Amino acid sequence: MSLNVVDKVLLSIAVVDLAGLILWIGVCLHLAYTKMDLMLEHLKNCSAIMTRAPLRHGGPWGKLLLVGGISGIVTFPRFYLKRGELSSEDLASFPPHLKRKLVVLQWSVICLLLVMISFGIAVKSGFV
Amino acid sequence: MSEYGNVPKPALPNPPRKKVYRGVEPTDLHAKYWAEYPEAPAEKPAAAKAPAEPGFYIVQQVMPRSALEAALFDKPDGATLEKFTRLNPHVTGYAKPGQLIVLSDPNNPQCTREEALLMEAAQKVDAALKPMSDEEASFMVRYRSEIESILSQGSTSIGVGESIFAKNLEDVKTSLKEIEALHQKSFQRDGHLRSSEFFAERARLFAKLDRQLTGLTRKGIGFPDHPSLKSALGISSKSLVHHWSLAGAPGQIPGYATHTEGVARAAKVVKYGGWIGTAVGGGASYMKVQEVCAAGNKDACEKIKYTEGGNFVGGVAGGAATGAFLTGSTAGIICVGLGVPTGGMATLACGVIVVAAGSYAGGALGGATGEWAGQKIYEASK
Repeated sequence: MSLNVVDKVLLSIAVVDLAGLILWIGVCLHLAYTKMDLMLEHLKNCSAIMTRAPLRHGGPWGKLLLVGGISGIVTFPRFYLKRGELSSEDLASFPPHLKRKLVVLQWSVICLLLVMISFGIAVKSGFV
Repeated sequence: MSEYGNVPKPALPNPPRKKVYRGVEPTDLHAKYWAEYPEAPAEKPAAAKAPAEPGFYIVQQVMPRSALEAALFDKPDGATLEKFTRLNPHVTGYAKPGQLIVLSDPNNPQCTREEALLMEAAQKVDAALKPMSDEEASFMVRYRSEIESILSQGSTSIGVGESIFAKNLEDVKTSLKEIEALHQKSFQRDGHLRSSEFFAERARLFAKLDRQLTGLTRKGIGFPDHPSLKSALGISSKSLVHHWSLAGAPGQIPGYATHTEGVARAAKVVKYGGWIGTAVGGGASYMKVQEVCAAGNKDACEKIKYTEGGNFVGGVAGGAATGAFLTGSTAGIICVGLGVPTGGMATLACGVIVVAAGSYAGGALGGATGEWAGQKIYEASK
């Protein structure tokens, strides 16, 4: 039994999305195990990051959360900057190649999650 | 100079009327005591006079026994050291982080019951620490307050803070009742509330209440210091010594020992929780497959392998990625939107809950996506 065109397209989207998420987790963990000290060193004056820093002792799961948190805060710093929990000097002196990587990670996870959420809702409510 | 020229002023331009005494100006007792003794615990005045009661110290890092003694006592004398050795048979070659060290004043022979309770508590703590490596134990000690606050959010465990909180609330309640009783008694006796006796008594009760309220806020954060024992033993002020009643020996107020088991578990949960969640999800999928395949329908068995495999992969990926995404600014924004103040434990707890709930939902949606994909792949492969 073969699939019709709509199913084929949807299936490739779903598979690409899930594979993308797994790849994303892999990249985050790679960053966590190779660049964690560097990242925390550059953000040591930011209480928003430092309150999350204990997570690095929480195994791969905790490290993933911490890298996700750092990437979210570096990409959208306004919320914490306004509350004074982030130091703008720290952000400015953050290595640009690392920052670009974190920003790309953040935007890609947003896209991947949006696709996944709409897909999941569609499946749950029986559209596909 | 006044408008009439240089006229001398009368000594008393407005002679005071006979003034009814209406109590003294209110003073901010909280601010006063806080500024004066920011480190002092809210102790009842009577307890401070008694000879120093036994206390305990929590080892903060791995250190040999001699280093521990040097850190605790500035200049140890024979009697103190002898007592220290007798009270702490559980401390062998080196001290493990989290271990409870019993301390007692050698000049106070009356507290053997408390000492026995403390030693019992120390053994309990040791038993809880035994399965942990030194690294895990120091991790636990370092993040005790965080772990404990997470633990106390759970309905099953009563945190140390909570039990102390309850005890404090009881004290506050008693004080308020005393104040009420004083008002009633004075009014019935004198027919008014203006006697100096009443004011003096009320001021005393207010001061007491104020100290209790200070203690309430302080003790919510952690163990109070126990300075009188510290000075009696000549312990250097940088090590925190706790009063014996907080050690949580069996039958006593729940304290350190009662919750060490819970904390030890939570430290592992933080470390291995992700794996446990994954394993539970994987186990559930595996069991579903086993169940369907045991029923004997070959097609259904083949199909559920695809759908459950997809469900598991999607669930793990979706849950992990959603959790990591929410740990950034989003959890903070959600918590502020819910009206949780930023900073402190409330935010941490709110963040933990938002991230946990989010990754659960993400896992469910990812699982649904994966399951659907698995089903289509199965259909295509036929």
